[in-house]
Amino acid sequence: MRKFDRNITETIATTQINLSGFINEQADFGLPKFAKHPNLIINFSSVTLINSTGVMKWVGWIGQVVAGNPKLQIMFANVPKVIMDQVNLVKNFMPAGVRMKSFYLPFFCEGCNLQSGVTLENGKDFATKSDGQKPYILIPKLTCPQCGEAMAEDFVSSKYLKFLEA
Amino acid sequence: MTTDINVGELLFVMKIVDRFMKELTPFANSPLQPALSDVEVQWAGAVTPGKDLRKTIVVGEGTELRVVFEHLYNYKAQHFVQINRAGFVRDIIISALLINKPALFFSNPSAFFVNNFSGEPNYEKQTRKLSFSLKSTDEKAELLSILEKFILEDSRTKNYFPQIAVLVDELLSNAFFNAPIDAFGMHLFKNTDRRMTVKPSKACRIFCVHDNTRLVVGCEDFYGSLQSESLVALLNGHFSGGQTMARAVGPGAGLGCKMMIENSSGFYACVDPMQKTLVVCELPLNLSVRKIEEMAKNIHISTVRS
Repeated sequence: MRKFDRNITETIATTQINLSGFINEQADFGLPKFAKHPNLIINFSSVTLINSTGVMKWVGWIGQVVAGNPKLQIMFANVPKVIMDQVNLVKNFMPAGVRMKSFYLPFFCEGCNLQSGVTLENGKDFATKSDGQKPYILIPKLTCPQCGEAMAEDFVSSKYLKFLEA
Repeated sequence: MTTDINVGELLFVMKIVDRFMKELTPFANSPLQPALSDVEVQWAGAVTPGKDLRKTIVVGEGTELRVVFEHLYNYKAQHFVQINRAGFVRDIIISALLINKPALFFSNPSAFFVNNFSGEPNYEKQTRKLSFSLKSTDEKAELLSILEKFILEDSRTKNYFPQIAVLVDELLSNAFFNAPIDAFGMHLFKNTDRRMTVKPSKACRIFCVHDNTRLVVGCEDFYGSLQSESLVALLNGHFSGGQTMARAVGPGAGLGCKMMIENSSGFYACVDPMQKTLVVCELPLNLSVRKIEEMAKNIHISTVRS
């Protein structure tokens, strides 16, 4: 079970925080101050789990980031299902003004008992109300890499895609 | 799965044996049969206000959690079973046993969920078990590593590791931080920073067991401090609608229990006051995560005397 880790990469106009492992009581997201660049991307691609203490810590931290950096453009990227569940269930997990850049859409092949999925990109595959657009999503058709049959969507749309209308 | 319950009935109170006579026929000669008598079944929505529901199993068909918790909170029901789910008779029997024979449940909870009710040959070969006693929060990381190996090494369970890991983590948080009390009933670690190491005087036990069709994970502590009515009130608030306010709550405020319920198809929280608390979550196997999420959930929150 991978421990929580955080590292930061920077480009000309963007700070990117890469989170990984288990977001729990030991998680330290760092100082909530980002004065150097106008954009902040929070990359969740390597996050594996989050518990209730991790949820509370995250909500507190991201709230401080939003409040303390009013001009910062914040985006969530490569959001896995374990985090998407919290985005949709917990108020202010993704505060108002924070945008979804990309997220994981899970699929399942019942015949092969195989999980798979795709990452959808904002502007190409979906848009949200908070993007200032009419929300939409283009859900792809996936075929099972083992048997070639169509894979079923492994999410409850009314719950998993709730953030589109937020 | 079909039922013959008349949804339009205003009053529906029957003895469990009468109502489910056909489904319970295979158990007619079982030594568990006497435990089923004297337990009533009541259709959700037809509950009589003020009626004592301690010996009643409230049943519904696909009832959403908001309504389930309204019944537990407003009518003090302790057991809610969804009878449109496959295998619901087993859940009815477990509920009846919890009502009438709680000592049996407390002494060997995993046997109630993973057992050979249907007399399958070589059933034992299907089952796997893991049990771990913990004395300190420092041992949690080791347990989660062992659990990860246990879950990922079997094709029946490997898809469910995230859910099971969260269940175990939340169960342990409750057992270490919320459960321990002193001789006067005062909580010792409820407001302790979750990053701190705690070593309660009484060890807790985590178990995980499964067969081909279901997996259960549970935790028992030997403080018996769970306040079942308070838990019901907390969860009723969480499930009454809308998103949960994480910022408004602190440690021990029910978000962990909510996450357990979200990640399982059945939730049992049973307390023998000042003796033992047992919390069990179950997951059906061989279903996609979506189908599990779509399943209406069974909820049991009860105070028993063993």
